[in-house]
Amino acid sequence: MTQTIMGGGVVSAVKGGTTILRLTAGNAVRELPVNVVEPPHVEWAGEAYKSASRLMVGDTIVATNYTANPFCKNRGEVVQKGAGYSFLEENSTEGTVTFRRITCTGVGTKAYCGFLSSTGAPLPVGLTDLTVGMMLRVPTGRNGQLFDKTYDRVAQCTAQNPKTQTVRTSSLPEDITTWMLAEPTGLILPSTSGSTGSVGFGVYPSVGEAPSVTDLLYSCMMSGYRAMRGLGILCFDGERILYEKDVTFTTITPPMSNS
Amino acid sequence: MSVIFNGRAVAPPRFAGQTWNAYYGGRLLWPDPANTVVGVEVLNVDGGKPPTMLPIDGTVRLAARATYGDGHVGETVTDAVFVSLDTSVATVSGNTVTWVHGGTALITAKIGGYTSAAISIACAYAPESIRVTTEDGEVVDTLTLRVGDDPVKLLFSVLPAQADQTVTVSVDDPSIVEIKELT
Repeated sequence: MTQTIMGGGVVSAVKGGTTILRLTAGNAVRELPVNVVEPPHVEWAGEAYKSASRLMVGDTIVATNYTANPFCKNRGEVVQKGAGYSFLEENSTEGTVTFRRITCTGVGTKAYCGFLSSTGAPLPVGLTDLTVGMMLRVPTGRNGQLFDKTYDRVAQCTAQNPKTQTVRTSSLPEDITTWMLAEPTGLILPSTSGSTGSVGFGVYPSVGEAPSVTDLLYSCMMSGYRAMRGLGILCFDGERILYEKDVTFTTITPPMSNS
Repeated sequence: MSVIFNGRAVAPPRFAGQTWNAYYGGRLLWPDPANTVVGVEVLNVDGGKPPTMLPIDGTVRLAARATYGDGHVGETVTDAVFVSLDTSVATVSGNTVTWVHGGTALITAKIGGYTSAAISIACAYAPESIRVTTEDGEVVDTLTLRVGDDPVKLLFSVLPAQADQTVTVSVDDPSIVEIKELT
């Protein structure tokens, strides 16, 4: 399509690929190579989530089909199409992962950061406990100090054995500057024996907007959970999941490292 | 034309009740006002006002009309001697002015030894290049976009600046990027 423009234009990316933007004025021709990068689209709990290991700087993952609580769409339902970052190898049994430099930019009144796991297969019968520890630490907060607070709330659910629990600690002020500071270990999820689907939990602010943190240490440890197909991290801002920097991770054995 | 002798204007000689005249250099020394051009007007070939614009690679045909000493106005003619004062901007062949380069063409017409005042014809500037910049003035040679990101605003400048700034834009593969005019 050819159009006549004076002054300038607004160029929007539609899909990945390369093309040429051709400008002509009289005999003057300007060819502008255009490269459009298409960020990976991850559908949590779907097969596509496996490709999330190729997240790059600035990638935006659009979460679809989720409600206010990304972990429990409705009572008894797990978000079937969300977004996530799978960081554990299939069939991993335990490990700790560390994400660095994750920005979770909130634009609304609610935001979530947390982990999901997707088994994709029936959990082993007899599994009685799943320990998932999570530590969120912000090196410097608004006032420059290192926060060391417990998390505010934890929401969790399972797929076939739906249960939403809210864990509160009374010590955490309703202040977004301290929201990200969660240092729980040993969150015990209920038995999901024989179930399929996902389990997950997350922390989110009770009030206010989500934090905008550029250097966030986000760790997760799990153990005693076999046949795990993936464990992912989510940061919702109500519309999008944002990763500002390369998401790097390491898988080590417990105990969870604080660094 | 006046005849000057010893610093004084000399009237045509009279002998035997007759007024005499003479040619000098092929011209009458004491011309008849009815045959003396005292003004020349440059016109369009159709007799209308002369053109003021000349598009790129364009031509325009001119005419001229003389005014004589006795006040009468001559016929509109196309065989006057037309001259371009800056042939780097426009050239003249016969009564046809041809665009050469952007600028102001000055054209005169000469009839009966009288040269008109120059008319100005604005010759359009041909676009020589197109500059693409961001709003911050940063020159853009290649563009990298990410699906889902905000659209990128680009400014187009046709050089030289006097050239028409209209740019025709096309995308080889419109399924990859879309472009809309900056509002």
